[in-house]
Amino acid sequence: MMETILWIALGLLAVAILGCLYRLLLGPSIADRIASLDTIGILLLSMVAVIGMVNKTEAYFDLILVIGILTFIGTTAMARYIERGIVLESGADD
Amino acid sequence: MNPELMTKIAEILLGVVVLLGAIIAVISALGLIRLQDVYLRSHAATKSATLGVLFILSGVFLYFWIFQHHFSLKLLLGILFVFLTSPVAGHLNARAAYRSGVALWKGSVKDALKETAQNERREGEQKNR
Amino acid sequence: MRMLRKVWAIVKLLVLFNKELLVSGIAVLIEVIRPRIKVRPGIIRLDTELKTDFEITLLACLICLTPGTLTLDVSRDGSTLFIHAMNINESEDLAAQIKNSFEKAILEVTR
Repeated sequence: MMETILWIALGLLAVAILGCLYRLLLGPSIADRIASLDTIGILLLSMVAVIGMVNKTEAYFDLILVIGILTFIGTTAMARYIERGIVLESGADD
Repeated sequence: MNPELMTKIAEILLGVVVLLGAIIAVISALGLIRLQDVYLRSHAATKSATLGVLFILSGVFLYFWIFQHHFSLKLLLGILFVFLTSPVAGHLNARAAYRSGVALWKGSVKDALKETAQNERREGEQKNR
Repeated sequence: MRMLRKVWAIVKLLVLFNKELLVSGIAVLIEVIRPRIKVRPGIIRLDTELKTDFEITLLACLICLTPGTLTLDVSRDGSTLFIHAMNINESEDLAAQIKNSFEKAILEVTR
């Protein structure tokens, strides 16, 4: 019973990721694409957690941290890029 | 009531919490498709989605804590991380969108930032000269 | 005693914040699934009394995590926050509302 519910939840999450893909492909501005990429990362992370719950194992939980960190770093880097045109800047003057 | 039935019911309740999170995630993806401009979409993307993910992760965390007797510190760290980074990411993205000149939706009521942003841009140009 | 009061203030801030997150999260969801979306978005300014960087960061993050409001920018001196709000009604003053709830709770924690 619980596993059925979890599989339904996984399907819904997949649908949500598809919705984000629509915005990722058609988004009029780059910021739209970044926002949807961020959402896709967070949804993937929760999918991994649900899969761990289905299989009753903690083996996948490292992936959650890795995906979370990569998503955040990626979003930050791309946002800085479209704001200033550079990702890392040298020099102390601001 | 016999304990086996109780366990079953509790398991199903946690499953429903996860399902609720998934439904919230789907609705926020719908918002990502339907809403009009970047800023409005950021509302749906970074926050409603975060709410859904928090539901899912807390459901999974409670499941492992109660039924597997395993206090998963990694999962707790993951929850904390999503909680901390998602507003920062949303803010950065929206600010980058504004600074790179993405227009507000035409139905927007007011724009208090316009003057300040123009002043700052002018200052920046003077400094570069 | 002082320590205890501080802990209590932190707990109160967390509870307030979670309540706010749930209530306005549901509000945004209802807004999204309505057949014809009618929102009145806009950018408002919030003059804050908070001084240190930590307090301002905390306020900005809390505003960001509350659906319906999103911190867009902070002025150079840190005295003004610019907030993109999803629904602006003329009748209620959103800035005053945020000031009354979040800022007060943060002040109790940090001072």
